[in-house]
Amino acid sequence: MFPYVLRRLAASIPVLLGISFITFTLVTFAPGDAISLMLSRDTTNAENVQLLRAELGLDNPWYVQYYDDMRGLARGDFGTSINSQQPVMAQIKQRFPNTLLLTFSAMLVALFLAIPMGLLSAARRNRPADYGAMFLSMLGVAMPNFWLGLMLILLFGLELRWLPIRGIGSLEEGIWDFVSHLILPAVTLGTALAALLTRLTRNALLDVLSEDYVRTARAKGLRSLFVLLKHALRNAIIPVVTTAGLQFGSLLGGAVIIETIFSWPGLGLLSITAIRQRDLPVIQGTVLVFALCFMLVTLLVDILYSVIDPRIRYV
Amino acid sequence: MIDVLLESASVMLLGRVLVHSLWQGVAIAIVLATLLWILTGVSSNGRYYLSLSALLTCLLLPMFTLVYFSTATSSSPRFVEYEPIPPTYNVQRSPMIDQLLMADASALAKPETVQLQPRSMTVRTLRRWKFKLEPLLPWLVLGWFLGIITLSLRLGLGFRSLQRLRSNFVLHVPPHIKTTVLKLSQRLELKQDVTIKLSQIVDVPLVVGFVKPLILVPVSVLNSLTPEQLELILAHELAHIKRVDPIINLLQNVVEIILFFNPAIWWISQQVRQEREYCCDAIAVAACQSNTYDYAQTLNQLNQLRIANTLRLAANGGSLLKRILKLVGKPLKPNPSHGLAGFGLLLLSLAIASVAMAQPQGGVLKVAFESMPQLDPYKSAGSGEINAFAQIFDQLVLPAPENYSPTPHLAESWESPDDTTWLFKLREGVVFQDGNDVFPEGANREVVAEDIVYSINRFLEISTVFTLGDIESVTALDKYTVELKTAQPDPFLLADPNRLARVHIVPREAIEQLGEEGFALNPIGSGPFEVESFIPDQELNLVRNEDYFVTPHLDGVEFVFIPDPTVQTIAVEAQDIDVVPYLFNIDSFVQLSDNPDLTLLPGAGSYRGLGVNVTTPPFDELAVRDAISKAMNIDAAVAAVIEPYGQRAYGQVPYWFEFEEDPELPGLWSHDPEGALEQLAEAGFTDSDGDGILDRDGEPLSFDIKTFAGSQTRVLTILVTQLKELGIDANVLQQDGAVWGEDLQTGNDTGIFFDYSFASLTGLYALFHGDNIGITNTHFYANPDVDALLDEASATLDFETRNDLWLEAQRIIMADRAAIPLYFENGYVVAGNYVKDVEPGAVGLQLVSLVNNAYLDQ
Repeated sequence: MFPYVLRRLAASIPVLLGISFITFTLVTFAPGDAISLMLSRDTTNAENVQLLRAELGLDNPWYVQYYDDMRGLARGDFGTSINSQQPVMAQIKQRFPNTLLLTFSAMLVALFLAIPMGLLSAARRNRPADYGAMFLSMLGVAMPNFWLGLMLILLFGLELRWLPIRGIGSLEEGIWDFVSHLILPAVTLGTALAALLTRLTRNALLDVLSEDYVRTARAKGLRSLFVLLKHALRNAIIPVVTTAGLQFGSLLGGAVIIETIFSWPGLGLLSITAIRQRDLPVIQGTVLVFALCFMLVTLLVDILYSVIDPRIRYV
Repeated sequence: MIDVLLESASVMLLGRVLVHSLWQGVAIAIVLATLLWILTGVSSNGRYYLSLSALLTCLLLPMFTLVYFSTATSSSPRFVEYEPIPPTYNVQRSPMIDQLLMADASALAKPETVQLQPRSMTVRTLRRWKFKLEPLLPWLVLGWFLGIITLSLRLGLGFRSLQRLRSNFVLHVPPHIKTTVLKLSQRLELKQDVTIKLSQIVDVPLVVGFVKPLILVPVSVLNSLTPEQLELILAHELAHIKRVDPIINLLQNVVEIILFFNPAIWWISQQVRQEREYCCDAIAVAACQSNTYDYAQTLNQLNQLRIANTLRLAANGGSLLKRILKLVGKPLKPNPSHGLAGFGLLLLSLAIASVAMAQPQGGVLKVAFESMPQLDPYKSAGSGEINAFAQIFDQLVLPAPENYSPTPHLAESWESPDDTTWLFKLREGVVFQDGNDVFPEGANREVVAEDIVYSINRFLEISTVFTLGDIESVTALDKYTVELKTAQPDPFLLADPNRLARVHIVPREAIEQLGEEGFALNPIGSGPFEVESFIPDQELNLVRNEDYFVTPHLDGVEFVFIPDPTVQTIAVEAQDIDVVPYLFNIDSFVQLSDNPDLTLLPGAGSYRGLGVNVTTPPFDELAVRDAISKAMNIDAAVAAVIEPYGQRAYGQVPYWFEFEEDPELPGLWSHDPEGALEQLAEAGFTDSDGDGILDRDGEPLSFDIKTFAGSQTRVLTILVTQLKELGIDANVLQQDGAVWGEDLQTGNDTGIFFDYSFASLTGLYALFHGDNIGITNTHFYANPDVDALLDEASATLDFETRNDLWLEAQRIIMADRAAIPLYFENGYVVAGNYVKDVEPGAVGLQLVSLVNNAYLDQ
């Protein structure tokens, strides 16, 4: 398996280079740059703007700028933010754990909701519980997460005032402070995935439940709950795990929106702020980290296959 | 449960009212005492009603206070309807501002020395005391309730005892006494039937009951007094009944119970009783045609039988000794110890009043921000950063909240010895913040003239957003005097909020030691709050600068990162944050102005219109530009979308700055669709191919109006619909802000664009002067006449002349149709009702200055 992992990692380098080039060209050739955003319609110091543009190298040809960027990247230097004048790497290091916390929490929320609901739905097929679970699942997929986030904020933040509506909690302030700040963004981010996984769990279980070995297990007189959990779920979980893993990337994408709504100081919010400010080094850095994450998670999912299903082998 | 009750707003309100009633009662008592002293010779009746009025006032004043406070705390923040000049603020204006305004209005034309002093230490101390008193208020209210319950029980028991007196141990009076009562009733013209009985319990004669009054006479009196003396006593009691004193006494008891904690009330009440007895004494003597000495003798004998009971209204009310002395014409001299006690009470009350009226102190104000990448004041001008700069740094001058004219700040005063020289006299004793890497705790350094020189030079060197104009030199003449020389006379250097008021003063050693990047993360200024922690685009915590020349009421300011404007408005409604410094979305105005817990403070707004690139065909033709302006019903569009949150604009010069409104401007614009079509036809635009769109030489009259998201998109949508109806194929194209900005700078290929600016004082110069083409003049408009007028105005110190030149330039620009003004949109600060004394500020949220000091009234 090790050579396989190495191959995959090596293959990711040209992918990352391609992503960095696309990001660079998109930002550079799109109208407007960080400096033009600093301009005001009626108060601008034109001379100093030109000096600053030259100082930041923004008046160089695009290929010179890209070459400089890549040279820095090769040294592991993402450069310096145009707006904050802080190293991009330091900002990413500070924000990335928060995004991971949010996405893993959302994943947990999704799994905790989806697997029991999928089980219930499959076990009670075509009965009210099944219809209820499927309705909720449809609702979860159909709702845009930014809308759901705002509704949750309005309900739990403004009307009931049970939960904080912004920012990240601190363990120093107590476990509840930490958890309460996490609940709304994690639920918002995890809802769509939970809906998807519920349907997937139900369908996979229904497939497995019609298999001969399940019928055999029942014929042996095993309790149906035992059969469901021990025999059926173990086999049905493979596509669920695969999808959950692959959807991790979409969770990272969703975090960009959710972090903005909930003022969650993560990588998504950093990237969206950088895009608004046309802060190319920060955009480059955050996009590359997102891409790297996505590739690593995909690799991890592939490896997990062989753990769950020993018949799968990588050479 | 009890905690909830104790912390409720009503309890706090009641507590404040009770505290205020203390000093109010004492003040009334002092006034009453003074008046009684002055009116010594006046009849007892007059003095009685005076005392009674005082007591009634003591009851009414707390009620008024309650109404006043509840109105102040729950009054709707409503939007203030548009008033042309000046904008109305929900915060109270200090008289100091008036002083400043008067000074500053003349500062432009003829600079004068203006000087202000910060608030005194005494005021600050009082406010600290009030802050300490606030937590005790709920317990004070609890104590008050318990006191009322106890005294009410006491009153109830007293009534019960009196009722028993009516029937227990009573005997019928001899017939001759009944005859005496009847005779006296006739003499006193008493219409009420009065019963009289002998009591074996009471020791002095008294009246019991309100509806059917009963006079109880002690059995002992029959043996102790002569018939004449008894007649006098009975006349006294009948006088009480005639004057409905029993009812008044009951009400008096109620007032005493409600305000039992106030010694002044008891004193006033005692005065009422005393004067009442004097009145009845006088009536009794007159009714019996007796003399005062006989009556005094009678009272003296009664004194032996006296039992004090405040609920029994009889001849025992008031001090018998005083009454006797008054009857014999020798009033009791005031007791010096009473005067001393009164003086002590006065001092105590004044202290309570001062504390009660002082503003509270403490608390951390939470202010929302969208973006704050760094804190070097010369390197960016986002709204989040500007609001932070305003707390961390000071400037030489601050724009006045009303009309943005310059007011003293770090510069205590200034003068202009000639047209190009400004001399600024610095406030002494202002220091840079300490407790940081540059200035250790207690080792802060005074802000001196050299700091101003360094800051201005650094600003000139690196500031990208703002400019100071043509500065020839800046020199420190002495420790506290700075000389600033301009290349030419420049009235806008001080008058424009975006010039000198944007130069925040920074210490040289901080930048040298921390470096440019380090300073952007750990800025040090001399402002009212210093940086405790800062994470770019994440959090900024400021704490009070204890050394500031106006001690801030707030303990600190927390800038809370909320990038989504919608969530900002939800957060301020949920009181998760206290202030949204700038409300962007006009839909939010409607929602928030309906919330009675919020205040919307109007500040400077923005100019919004249609800009025209006068070099892009076919808009390089005046007739076409003019026709487009006539084809649209701008009034209707603005009324439908913007009002009352903005007003129709007929020019670019905003109403909130010094320039006067030009009455001729509205006449330059008209809605005339037929005229527009005729003009376009004359210019060659007709629908030659019958597709419903006007064309010329095969080219349709078609263009996109590029804009970014905002209220204008709805206005523009209405306008393009009107244009389409006339065959002009106009469309709204919404873009990202940066794309829109870049497009304008590079010439805007469509010819007409959404024009937007914060409409600074010199906006006309920036947007339309030929020298600024491609930088801020994205109309690419160059008119030598306009340039000459703007140049001349920019170098004219006399306001009237400058105003005339400026308005003339504006009229030419508008007549040239270089822009089609739409509206001015108001800017608002949204704050919880409990946030007091905040000014929107032209250069950032103004929390602490010489004229305001924000606090949380919670």
